[in-house]
Amino acid sequence: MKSNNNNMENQAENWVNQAMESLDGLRRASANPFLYTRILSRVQEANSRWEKMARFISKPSFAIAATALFLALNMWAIFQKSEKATPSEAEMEQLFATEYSASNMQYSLVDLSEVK
Amino acid sequence: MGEQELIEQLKAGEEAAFKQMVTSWQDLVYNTSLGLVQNEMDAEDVTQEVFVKAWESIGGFKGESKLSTWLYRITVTKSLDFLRSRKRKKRFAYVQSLFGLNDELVIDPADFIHPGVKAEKKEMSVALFKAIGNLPEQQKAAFVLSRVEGLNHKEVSEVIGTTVPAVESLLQRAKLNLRKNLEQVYRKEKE
Repeated sequence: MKSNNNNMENQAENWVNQAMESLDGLRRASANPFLYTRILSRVQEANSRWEKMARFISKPSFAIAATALFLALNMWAIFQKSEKATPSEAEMEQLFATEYSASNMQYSLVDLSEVK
Repeated sequence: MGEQELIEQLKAGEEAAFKQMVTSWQDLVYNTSLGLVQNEMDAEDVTQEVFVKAWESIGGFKGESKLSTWLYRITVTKSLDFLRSRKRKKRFAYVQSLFGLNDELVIDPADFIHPGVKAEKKEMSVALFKAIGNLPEQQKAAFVLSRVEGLNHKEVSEVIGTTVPAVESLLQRAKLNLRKNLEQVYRKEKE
């Protein structure tokens, strides 16, 4: 039993050693012979105006600045609107008067002590 | 053309100099990237990115190291970035599949066989490359530069930007981790 275990250990160690040595005598892999042409077209593509613009737009700093500008414009629009929407005191009185005179309801003061 | 002259011409935007740089070092970049990303098409893509980056940033090259060391640095950075992005995509696809948003199967890449491995060692190298793929980034970079590109410890330290003893320690830990990983693979196969 013990010799079986030892045998197994030895086999495992041999296998690991063989794997570890499998890169001995490795030759350097060669790149594609058309690599330069491909790189050149990529460089030219990267230099095109549209590509430069796309790279500029995709920068995080541009996204942050654009979001900040958008929020600022929204806040400005909201404040502008709320300033206009708040009526003055005279306008409020006018509105109140219009509201009640337009109604057909009759209003009279009732003395609550007489109701009893 | 000497290296200093080549650098000056590259900085001046000379296309002939760029062609010379690519043809002189394309195999160095490709082989390093291939060792790290373990896929020929991806390695070619990374190689292209490395030279585009080198062309764009040659103006910032101060000449404190050799041009080849600088290219090795860009290659390692780009290859590790690529591996991180591949991992992120794989994780995202898995999460999507859990929610039934993605019906496509997440297929594991085929076994990688480096084209420069000796014929009789190809089978064993598959297991080793799989184990290399599981190493932490720094150990992986140091091991590939040392064993796949054949750089000495000093050269590896210049590429990674660390000291020679730190590289020795990285390689020592990488070998220990690889042995552990390979032992597990062997035992699983025997079960």
